[in-house]
Amino acid sequence: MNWNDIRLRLRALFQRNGVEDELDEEITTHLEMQARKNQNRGIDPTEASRLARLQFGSLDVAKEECRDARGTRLIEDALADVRYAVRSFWRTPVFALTVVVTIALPLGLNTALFTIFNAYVLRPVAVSDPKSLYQYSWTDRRGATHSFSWAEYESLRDGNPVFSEVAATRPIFARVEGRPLFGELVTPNYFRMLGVRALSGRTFVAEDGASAGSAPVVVLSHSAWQNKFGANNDLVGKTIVIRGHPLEVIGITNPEFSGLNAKTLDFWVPITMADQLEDGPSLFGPDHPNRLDILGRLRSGLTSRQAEAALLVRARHGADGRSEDEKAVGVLLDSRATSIRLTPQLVAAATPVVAAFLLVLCIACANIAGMMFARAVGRQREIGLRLSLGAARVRLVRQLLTESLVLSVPAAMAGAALSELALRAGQRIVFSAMPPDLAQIVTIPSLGFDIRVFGFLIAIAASSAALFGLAPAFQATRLDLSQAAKGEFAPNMRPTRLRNASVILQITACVMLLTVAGLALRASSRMNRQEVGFTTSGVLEMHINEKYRSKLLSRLTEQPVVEGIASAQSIPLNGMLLTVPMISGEGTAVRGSYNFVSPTFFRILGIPILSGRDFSVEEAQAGAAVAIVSQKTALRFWPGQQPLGQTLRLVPDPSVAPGSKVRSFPSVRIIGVAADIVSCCFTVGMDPTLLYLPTTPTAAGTSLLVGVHGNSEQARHKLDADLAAISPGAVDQIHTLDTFRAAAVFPFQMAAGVCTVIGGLALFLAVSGVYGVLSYSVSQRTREIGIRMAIGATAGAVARLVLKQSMRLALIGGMVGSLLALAVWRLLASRVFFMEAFDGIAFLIGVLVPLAAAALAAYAPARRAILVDPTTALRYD
Amino acid sequence: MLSRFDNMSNSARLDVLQGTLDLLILRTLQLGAMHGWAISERIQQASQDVLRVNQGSLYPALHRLEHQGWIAAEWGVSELGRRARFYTLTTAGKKQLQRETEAWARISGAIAQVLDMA
Repeated sequence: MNWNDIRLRLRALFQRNGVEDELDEEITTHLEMQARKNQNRGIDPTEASRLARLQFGSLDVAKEECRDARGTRLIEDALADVRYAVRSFWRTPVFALTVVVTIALPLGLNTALFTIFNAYVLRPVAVSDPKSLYQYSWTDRRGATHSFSWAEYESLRDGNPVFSEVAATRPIFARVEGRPLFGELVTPNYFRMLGVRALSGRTFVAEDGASAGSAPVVVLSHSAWQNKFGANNDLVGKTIVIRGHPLEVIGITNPEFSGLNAKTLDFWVPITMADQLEDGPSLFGPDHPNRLDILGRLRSGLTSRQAEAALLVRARHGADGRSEDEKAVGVLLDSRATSIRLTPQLVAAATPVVAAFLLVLCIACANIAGMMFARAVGRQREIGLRLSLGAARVRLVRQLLTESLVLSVPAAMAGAALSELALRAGQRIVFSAMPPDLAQIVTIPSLGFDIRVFGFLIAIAASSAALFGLAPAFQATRLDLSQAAKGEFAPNMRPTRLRNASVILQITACVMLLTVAGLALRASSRMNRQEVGFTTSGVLEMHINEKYRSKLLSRLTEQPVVEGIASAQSIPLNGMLLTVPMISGEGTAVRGSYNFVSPTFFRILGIPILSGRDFSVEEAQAGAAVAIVSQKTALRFWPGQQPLGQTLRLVPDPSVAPGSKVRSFPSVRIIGVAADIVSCCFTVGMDPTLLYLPTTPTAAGTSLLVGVHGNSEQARHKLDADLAAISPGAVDQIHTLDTFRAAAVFPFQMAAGVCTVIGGLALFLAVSGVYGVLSYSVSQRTREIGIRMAIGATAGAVARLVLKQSMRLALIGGMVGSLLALAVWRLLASRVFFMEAFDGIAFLIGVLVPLAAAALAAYAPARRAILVDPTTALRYD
Repeated sequence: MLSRFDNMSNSARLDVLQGTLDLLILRTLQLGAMHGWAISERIQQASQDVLRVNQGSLYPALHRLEHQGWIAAEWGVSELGRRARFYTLTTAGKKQLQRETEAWARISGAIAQVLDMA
């Protein structure tokens, strides 16, 4: 293909009429010349022209060949099809609108889902060359992931074969004026390495991190500046207090960048400030604490595989002083190109959600396929005629498919708008339904419409057009020509089968989705009512900066609103507890959860001690080898025996961290049995094993549980303000336990909400599908119904005829759908404790609602059937 | 493609083979700009009425060659005073003509040799 060709093709496309006129003129001139030549031979003028035509051969064939020579045939035909389709839909706007709305709804939902997926998993982070960025770590034999010491970072920085540049980072959390802020301590090359610029002010320069304790400065993210500092224009140059330390704001990053992870970051501080802002031993001191994450830019030309091999050699080499357990056995190079990596686990987790969304799209497609088919059947005469006249079937199929595609264009546009709407409404609903404390922490990345979303929309719209257009197109063009010639087109086709299949499919999917939605809704409402075994009201959870712990503890007890103080290593309902293998007597080791709690923990949380006693203050302070177990734990280790006075041996395996406190409790004597509680999470329910070991509120690393008088939210605000007045920035975290509970239930509520939306949409689509198919079938069977009535069928019998058709399909769909829902439930029950019990009511609702809806959808068509007038019907057609 | 005898004409006349039509058109246009009818007349004359161009396939061939960029078309006035489309050989067309002429010479020479063998 050359330029000349392209020019001519474009001309043929866009000046089609001109090109055609020229062709006509050229051939006419030719014929005239030939006629004149014939005339010159002495033939009379009329005969000469006729002869010229004969000598030329078929004019039309020649013209067609000329058109073929232009090479624009396919496009011209397609354009003609599009014009034809647009004209015919213009004449039947209701049909076109119904199709567009039906497909736009699920297209919009799927696009919304994809937009979220894109924002986290596909869209590269806004830094230069994101694909070469990796987080580097290695695992040891215990399976623990290595964090790096400052010395290790320096050695990597000063020379390594793999990365052209490395930065060290460390997450840090702070509360500023009561607002939680997430940040990172970073080496000063961080922003330069990533190619991130400041929107105003500047990012870090080498001097900011020249020596330990240097440069009390902070860079804020655009999102933090907007959402947490009121987009204050003269913030740069001001000082903010982070973890009790005043830092000067030197810059605000560009709006696109908010850290490399899914969590939107608020601020960055030079890592040389670590000792000022963090608890524990000095990062630069003789202890060499392993705390840093390493971010590296891979040298160009290296694959991540090669880099891993080189790094493994290096990691083993540098591990001379370590014990065998702590040596590197594997290297982890985690791409930081997108905020969430697409791992097999992510795919597995996302698949059911994607499947549900796609299923709704399939329902809509099946629904429209039925409508398109009914439309094609209405055009049997046209199609039959064209086939009889020699039109190629492929050409007709292409035309019918073009019609589907033409409809999918406005549908895609409407879908894009709906997606935008759904995302906005969704965000608003999520944030308003969220516990307020959680809403402060949760951030959502910008869910923009970009080229990937656009591509997805095009692809999904086109494939659904193919899905709902292909089967009707093939069915409608499968004609017996000998019958078509006689004007009979219908009998050879099996329209009923296709339409019935489409209805069954819709009902099946609808029943399944609704049942699952019912299961999820009822499970989440059970969670809301669920006894967790302890009281969440009137208790605050507090995390205090270790430097201020003893000072604040003494001040806290003086507060009149405080009723009592306890502490615990893990807060109930805040996720998995640590575990350790436990052995009783000669039994086998059982891996069980444990928690360190102070005396009064049980009293403040209202957990009854069923037998025995609470820890004494002396035991707690001395770290005595005593323990309290939950009732389930007691039953598990000593069924039918007195648990009090028994001994439990704790045998830490390599998975228990070397410095873990539990290692100083080789064996414990049971002094009490406490009632069971939901300690981990709602998916697990009451913890199967739970061992309490003694600690005190003064012990580092424990969270405080503060019992308060009166309204806990008010108490929270008052305590927060009072403590901030004593030591600003000392309180890292202060929440009510009610918030923990709400936060634990929240994901399930959201999931149930999404299920309900999907199920509702499926129901709406299925009802409209049943209605469409039945209306059409009644209009097709008008003559049959007329005959039935003429020979004496009653109105009731006719109505039953229509209803029976609807119910038969609905029942099949209902059965298959329930079976599928059963399978989904088995899967869910294995993961979520709250779905374990068989929920017959959800299944019943899941089946009955669609069935009732299907019956209702049959009402109007049945009524129309009753109103058929036999005399008119028999004359019909 | 088989040559067909036209019942209208002398049985000694041959339809121009599909593949050779392009070559003949290019060669004819070497003489100067010409419209379609003149090209077919010219081929017929030059072959002393042995070759007869199937007029129906002349125009598709012309359009194809135009798309290839070997000939260019321009509207002019014919000897009858009517508008006609005149075709001229382009530079690319001249090269193509040379190539095709050589190829034809090789093939016809080879065929002649095979025939002489007997």
